[in-house]
Amino acid sequence: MISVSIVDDKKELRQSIATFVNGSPGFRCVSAYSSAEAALKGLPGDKPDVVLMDINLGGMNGIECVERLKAEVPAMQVLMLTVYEDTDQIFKALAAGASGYLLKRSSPTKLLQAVREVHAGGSPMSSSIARKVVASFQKSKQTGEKQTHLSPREEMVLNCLAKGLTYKAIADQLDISIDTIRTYLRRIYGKLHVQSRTEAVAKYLTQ
Amino acid sequence: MVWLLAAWMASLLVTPANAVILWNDPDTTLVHETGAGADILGGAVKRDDSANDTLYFKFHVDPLSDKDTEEYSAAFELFEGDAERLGIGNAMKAWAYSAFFHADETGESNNLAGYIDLHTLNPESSTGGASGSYQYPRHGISVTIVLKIQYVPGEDDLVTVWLNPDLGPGANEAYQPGGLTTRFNANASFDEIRLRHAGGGGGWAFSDLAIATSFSDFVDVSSARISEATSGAAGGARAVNFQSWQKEQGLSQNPVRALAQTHGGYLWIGSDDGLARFDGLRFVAFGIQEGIKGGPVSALFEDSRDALWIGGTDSGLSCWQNKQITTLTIQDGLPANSITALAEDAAGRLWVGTDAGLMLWQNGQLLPLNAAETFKGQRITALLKDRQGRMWVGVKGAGVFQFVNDQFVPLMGDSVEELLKDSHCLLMDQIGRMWIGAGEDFVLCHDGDRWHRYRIPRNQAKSHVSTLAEESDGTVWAGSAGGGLLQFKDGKFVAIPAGSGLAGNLIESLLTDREGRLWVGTDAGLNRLRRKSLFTLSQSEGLGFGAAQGLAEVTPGVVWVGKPNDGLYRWDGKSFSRLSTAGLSPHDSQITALLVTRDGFCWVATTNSLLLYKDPIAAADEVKVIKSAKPNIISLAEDREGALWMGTREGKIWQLHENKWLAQTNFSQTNAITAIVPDTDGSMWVGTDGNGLYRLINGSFNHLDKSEGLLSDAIRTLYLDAQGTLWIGTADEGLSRWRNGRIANFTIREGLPNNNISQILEDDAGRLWLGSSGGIACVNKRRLDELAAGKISTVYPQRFGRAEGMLSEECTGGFYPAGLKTKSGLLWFSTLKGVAVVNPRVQPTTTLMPNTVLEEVLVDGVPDPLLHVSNPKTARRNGQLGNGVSQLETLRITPGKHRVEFRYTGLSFDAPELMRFRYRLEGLDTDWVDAGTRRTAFYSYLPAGNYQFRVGACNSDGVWADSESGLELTVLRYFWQTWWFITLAGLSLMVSVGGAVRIVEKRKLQRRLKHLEQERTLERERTRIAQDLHDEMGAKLCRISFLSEHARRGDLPPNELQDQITSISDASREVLHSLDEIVWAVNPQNDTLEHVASYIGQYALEYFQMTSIQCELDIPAQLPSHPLSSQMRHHLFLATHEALTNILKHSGATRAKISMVSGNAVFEINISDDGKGFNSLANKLKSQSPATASGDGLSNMCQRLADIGGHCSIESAPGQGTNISFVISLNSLAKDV
Repeated sequence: MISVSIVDDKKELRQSIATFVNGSPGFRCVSAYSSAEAALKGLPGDKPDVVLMDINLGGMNGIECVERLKAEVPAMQVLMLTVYEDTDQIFKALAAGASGYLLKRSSPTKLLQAVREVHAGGSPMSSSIARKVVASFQKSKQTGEKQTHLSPREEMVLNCLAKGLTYKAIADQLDISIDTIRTYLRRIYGKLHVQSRTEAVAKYLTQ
Repeated sequence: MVWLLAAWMASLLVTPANAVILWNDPDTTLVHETGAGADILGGAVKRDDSANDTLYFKFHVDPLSDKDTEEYSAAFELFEGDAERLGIGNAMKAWAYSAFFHADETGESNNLAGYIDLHTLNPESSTGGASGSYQYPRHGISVTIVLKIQYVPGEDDLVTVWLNPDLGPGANEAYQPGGLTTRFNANASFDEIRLRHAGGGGGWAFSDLAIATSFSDFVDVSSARISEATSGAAGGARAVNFQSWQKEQGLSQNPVRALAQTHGGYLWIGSDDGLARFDGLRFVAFGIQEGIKGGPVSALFEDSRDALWIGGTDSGLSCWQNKQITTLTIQDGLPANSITALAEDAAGRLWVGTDAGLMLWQNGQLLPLNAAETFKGQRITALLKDRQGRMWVGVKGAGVFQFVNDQFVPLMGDSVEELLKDSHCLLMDQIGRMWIGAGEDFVLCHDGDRWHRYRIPRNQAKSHVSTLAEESDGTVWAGSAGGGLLQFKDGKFVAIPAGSGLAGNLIESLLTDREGRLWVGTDAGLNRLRRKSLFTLSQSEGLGFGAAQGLAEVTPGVVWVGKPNDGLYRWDGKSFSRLSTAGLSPHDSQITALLVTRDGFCWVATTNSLLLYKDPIAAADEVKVIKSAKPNIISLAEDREGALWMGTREGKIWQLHENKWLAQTNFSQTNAITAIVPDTDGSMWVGTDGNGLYRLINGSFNHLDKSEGLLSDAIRTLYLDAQGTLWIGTADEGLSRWRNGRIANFTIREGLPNNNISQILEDDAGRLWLGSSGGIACVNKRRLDELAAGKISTVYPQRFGRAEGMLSEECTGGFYPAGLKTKSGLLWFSTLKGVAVVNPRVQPTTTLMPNTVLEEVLVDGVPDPLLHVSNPKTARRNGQLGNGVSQLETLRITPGKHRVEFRYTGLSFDAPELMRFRYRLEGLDTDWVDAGTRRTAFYSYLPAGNYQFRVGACNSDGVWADSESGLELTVLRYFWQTWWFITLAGLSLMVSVGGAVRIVEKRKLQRRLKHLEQERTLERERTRIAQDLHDEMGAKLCRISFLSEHARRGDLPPNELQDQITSISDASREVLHSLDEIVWAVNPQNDTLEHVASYIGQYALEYFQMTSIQCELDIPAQLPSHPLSSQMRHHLFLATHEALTNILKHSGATRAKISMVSGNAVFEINISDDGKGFNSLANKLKSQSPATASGDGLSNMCQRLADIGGHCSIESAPGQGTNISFVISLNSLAKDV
């Protein structure tokens, strides 16, 4: 049974998703919050497996919430929900610590699939995101911080993703398993997260 | 009867005013071998036997012959017809001065029968034969003889002869010493007087002949006539002294050879090496620099065309005119290079006298004079144009000639032939006498047809008279080469002694300037004659030490002076003698005031008593002491009735009338009475020392003091003038004037030198002379009136103090009468050290108006050549400017800031250091600037423009001359100051401002236009979005709506329901997709190429995700961040969408590839698939026709690309897949919305 929490400021949508999740076998919706502040208060106590968080929330936005949440409960998996595929926002959320993202208009099945994947430790990445991640890491390469450098394999995976290859195709190409791909991705995200944190700190310090 | 006669005689003594001089001849006449002689009276006076009056005769004799050495007779002789009557002189047989006559009327021969030796006070010694009480005529010893004839009808007349009588001031016949008086009877009828000489010797010189009706007519009445240059005179004062200029004062060279004064007023001095020009203060030398030849100058002359002629002793003749000098020498026709004399005749020809003859100069040419041929080679000693315009020439060895009718007519004179041949200089005086300096030491005078010969006293071997001049008052002066300066006075030439300031004894030139004063050029400097006007009488004249107080003139010429601690003194014209004041105790001799009343008595007030001298003239030792007098009388006055008024120090007023003392009882104050003045209406003014002024009218007193406007209550003296104005001198506050009840005040502020005025006198010219504790001041009453009326603000009185000779400047006061004006017009002031006497006639009332000359203009310290010191601008009358030589020129000054300095001078020699100036620069100064004595006007900055500078001077009386000197000048402008530049600049400024405004406006307009355009674009976009929203989603949502409605129907079979719901689900997702894209396209954050590429790539992947087509992306890692407008993004996306749809639906491909390329300012999207393809060429042709189905996606794509300025190309061939490429240019304006 995978426990899920929902953070979304739209009541109808929150209720729809909650109903759907509860209605699906193997999933249970444990809590639903309308704001990031409430979520920050409640989620550490709820300890759900996966959090579905909207990027745009009234007051504090989802990205910041993820950041704080991950600072408090690093193990918590957050899946960003967004109506529009705003790659900038998504990238930021991922850099803040989200494990993946999902479009709200995705089919319910896809939603559940994504939740399952995240719970399993996967980190789904689309090609456009991959491009962004590549760009980001290229930038950091210039600054010369070791922790945020990608390994060659990771880079290759990333590039393939950016090209639009499926996991399967990548696995075929690089002669690795899909699981390995997932691991790579997880690591990439981690580095991204660190990188973003470093950046934030640096920004903070310089400000 | 006798008593009457005595009274009449006494009245004659006291009032000599009705004496008359019937005839006189002050000149000197030399008589020598006259034979019977000639009448000199010409019928002016005659008396016959029936006369019964009295006549007095006087003459002065200077014998040229000694009785001892030559036997002769000479006499002043009365003739009746041809009969000799009475002769006074020296009879032939007599040794001494004698009188000879006929006792009856029978005409005897010339040889006199009887003679009487005249008594004398200077008898000869008993050697020589004659008895001891007579005086011999001696050469060099002149005598004066006065002769009184009392005519008795029908009988011999009574004759009294005085030999050298006392004719000093105050003298009269009654008191002549008997020792010089000779009386006898003789027949003295006459109708002729002849001066005769016969026998040996040189003759006698008679002078100063006169016939009068009274003895006093011969008496000298100028009571302070200090004896002049003769030796043996008592008193050390001199009437003349000289101003002197030598090298130390700026004269370049000491010897002065020639003098001239040009029309402007400058004095020119010719020296041994050129010229100097003098303006009273400054000498400016001219020499070789100006073109004047070096060498001694012997003659200077200005002709009628204002050219200055300079004659040298060996350099010829130079003419200086209009800044140019032309020189004439022997080469040009001059007889010699040594010029001796210059003159101009009535025709304007210049007469040039040289060492070798006479030449004329006219119209630029030297012309010989025919008549002057005779003088060729002879030295011309003098040239003169007389008052009638006739020319006179002196020629050495030939005589003196007059040019008449083109002929030279010699001057004839029997006794003077030889002397005329040795003439040195010529002068014609105001009266028409011709004076000639001739021979070794003679001056000849030709008067009418008589010749007089005067010998000059000399003390050196050679000292001929080299020059003659006449002052404006008629005094004739002679300068001798070695014997100094001589003045013709009393019939002879008298030398001015050393000590009067004459620089040297060798006099080469004399000049009378336009102010009438004499200039003397000596070998040791330059002198100008100065007449002293103030003399002091004190210890050296016998007045003793100490202060003088009261003054009174007991008889014309005799003045009594009271000295407080010293007694009473008498001045007789030469010295003082102390009068006895018999009856006075020594401690009582504090003499305060003196008064001479109309009856001739002299009253003397002392501390304790009052002295009365009833006959002060004759019996000065008879004094009556009036013991009943009141003590401490300090002021005396006589009213109209003859009563004597006295004021005491205690403030009491007493009257003495008919031997009765009257007190003024209704007058009570205790301040000293310092002045009492009777007014013409019978009232008495009384001045007190502390209580102001009182006026006694009909027994009551009116009081005037400070509260009514009087300057001060402490009054020192009063003076009532002939117009009825009362002048009030106060102690330390100044001068007040009371006129018709109104008071005006004058103090130091208005120009009075001192505020403590204790003596007020008035001269005959209407000037007030104020004796103060700081000297004497002379101010014109008219100036004071102007000051009171406010027309002027300051007066400039003439001041006399120690510099003018006063021993003490403090005039005494506090008694009345104070100060004295004598009958002869002299003013006496009593001071702390004796008496100061001023002769007001020496100070002329109106001096010549000084001529102002602008000499130099300096611009920034550099003299401008337009106006040069050698060519100054003199004044013209009536405000016209210019100089005599060139017309008005304008001085031009370059633009910029300059210092301009004007240097001017005033030409007057009387008191140049006191001359005051005013100037004005019209265009800058609003009014006259008072420069005081400064002779420079300085301006530190003149702005551009036209100006006129004027300067004028004022004389010592404070009157400004109406002629000024001036100059026009222009300061040029910089080009940027000129009017045309300024207007041009102004115009261009306006134009540029206008232009700037226009540009600004235009920009604003452009910006607005752009803004509007942006707004329009925005609106268009919004319209498009609205349209898109409507088109895209409206339809889809409609569909959803229908599907949902349909699904709601309860009667649908389950799988249909499922299908419906699936459709709804799909459709909703599609709507979300559309919405996503629209939002993405509009979102400005997604405006870069990178975003577009990323979005399109992602979309393609998702599109093919659930399909069987494998999609691959090939997007470059980095794309240029080129902005793309939302419209471009939108169309690009939709075009791509079309292509993808085509691949999915029609191509049957298994693989699709999206690749993007950017570069060379283009961006390309290639969409290729491996499907079955189609005939793109055929399609292309088809698509060109307008009527194509709207569902044709390919044409749609191309349209979209075209809309955004891009290009779409489709390549496909059957069985070979399809490749669609979209190309857009990145240069196209893709602005963010």
